[in-house]
Amino acid sequence: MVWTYRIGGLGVRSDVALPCHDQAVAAIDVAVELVSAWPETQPGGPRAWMIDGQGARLALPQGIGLHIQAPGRIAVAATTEHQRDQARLYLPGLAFSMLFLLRASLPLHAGAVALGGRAFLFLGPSGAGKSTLTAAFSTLDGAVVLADDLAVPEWRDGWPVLWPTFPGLRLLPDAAAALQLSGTPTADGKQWLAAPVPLGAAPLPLAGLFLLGPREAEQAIVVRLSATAALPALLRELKGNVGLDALPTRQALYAQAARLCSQTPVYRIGVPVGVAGLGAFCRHLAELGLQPAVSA
Amino acid sequence: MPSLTLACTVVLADQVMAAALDDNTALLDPVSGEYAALNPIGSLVVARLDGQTSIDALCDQLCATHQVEPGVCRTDVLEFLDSLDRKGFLVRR
Repeated sequence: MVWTYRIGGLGVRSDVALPCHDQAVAAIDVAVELVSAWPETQPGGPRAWMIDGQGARLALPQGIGLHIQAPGRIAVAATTEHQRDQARLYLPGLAFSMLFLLRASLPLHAGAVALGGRAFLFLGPSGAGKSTLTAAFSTLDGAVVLADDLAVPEWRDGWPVLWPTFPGLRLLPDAAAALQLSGTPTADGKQWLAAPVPLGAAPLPLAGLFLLGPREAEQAIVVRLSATAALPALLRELKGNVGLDALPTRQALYAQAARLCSQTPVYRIGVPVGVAGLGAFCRHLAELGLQPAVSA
Repeated sequence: MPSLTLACTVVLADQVMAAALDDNTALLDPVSGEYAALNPIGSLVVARLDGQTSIDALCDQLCATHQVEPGVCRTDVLEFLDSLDRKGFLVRR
């Protein structure tokens, strides 16, 4: 069976079901293909990308291999049903992040929500509360989840915009319950909440980038960063498990990150403890992001 | 590493990446993680590091195009480039 998706603006044909809506696409930019052979041992060990002129290769512990051949092929070495199930977990984060990096697009570790015709990005490392904040923000009237963990801005007419990537949320059960959301249990004990409908005939302009600070903030914090302060913080939220120095596209990625910080408001935020104040906090962020668009 | 002198000729190290940020420039060494945000004058100085012009000659150029006292210019430029050198952004030619 073969599925087709639109992921971060790319038309994708996949031999593996991915956590987004199967939909017709006008053109295929990327093929995700199952292959049986993994031709090489990997000197860096599991979870270390090997990047060379052939692309990026990664051997995973369960005997699964990923080979990213930019611009348009992800080969997945997985022969058993169990391996294919595991590969499905690695594709959205690891494989697509590396694909975007090698295509010189910025894969940000971010949840994203559409509201008022704009995209709000919530960035932070795993465990920072990004999914909870994204989920809380998605409960505002008219809000729709665009991405849970991977958001990839691109430029249209000179300005940054966002397409949906994997539009659903993986939430801890207590967070889902506190926000009165329910989804499907996942293998890692979370709840998966899929976005209800396929999204987007057009990408959305960015309302702002919200960088999550300390998890246990005593009070809500929202501080607008200068572009020069935002840039290194943004670079820390690049996905892909690899340093910029290892990438042949590093200069283009760096220039894009700088451009993004110049053109989009970037805020450092401290989310209030508990879910009680989250609604008001999200409404405040929405007001900030929906102010008339001006460059920083 | 000894401090730079006016006779030195320097250039950005190969691995250092530079990006325009409005009127500023952001330098990043992706290997060491060192980062520096330069103001417009700092950006101008770095843009003129060609590996052939000495710091002294660079200051002459700046004095010819900007209203600055030559002694102040030399002191400030040398101090600025020294700070970049200590972060590993520069190589000497």
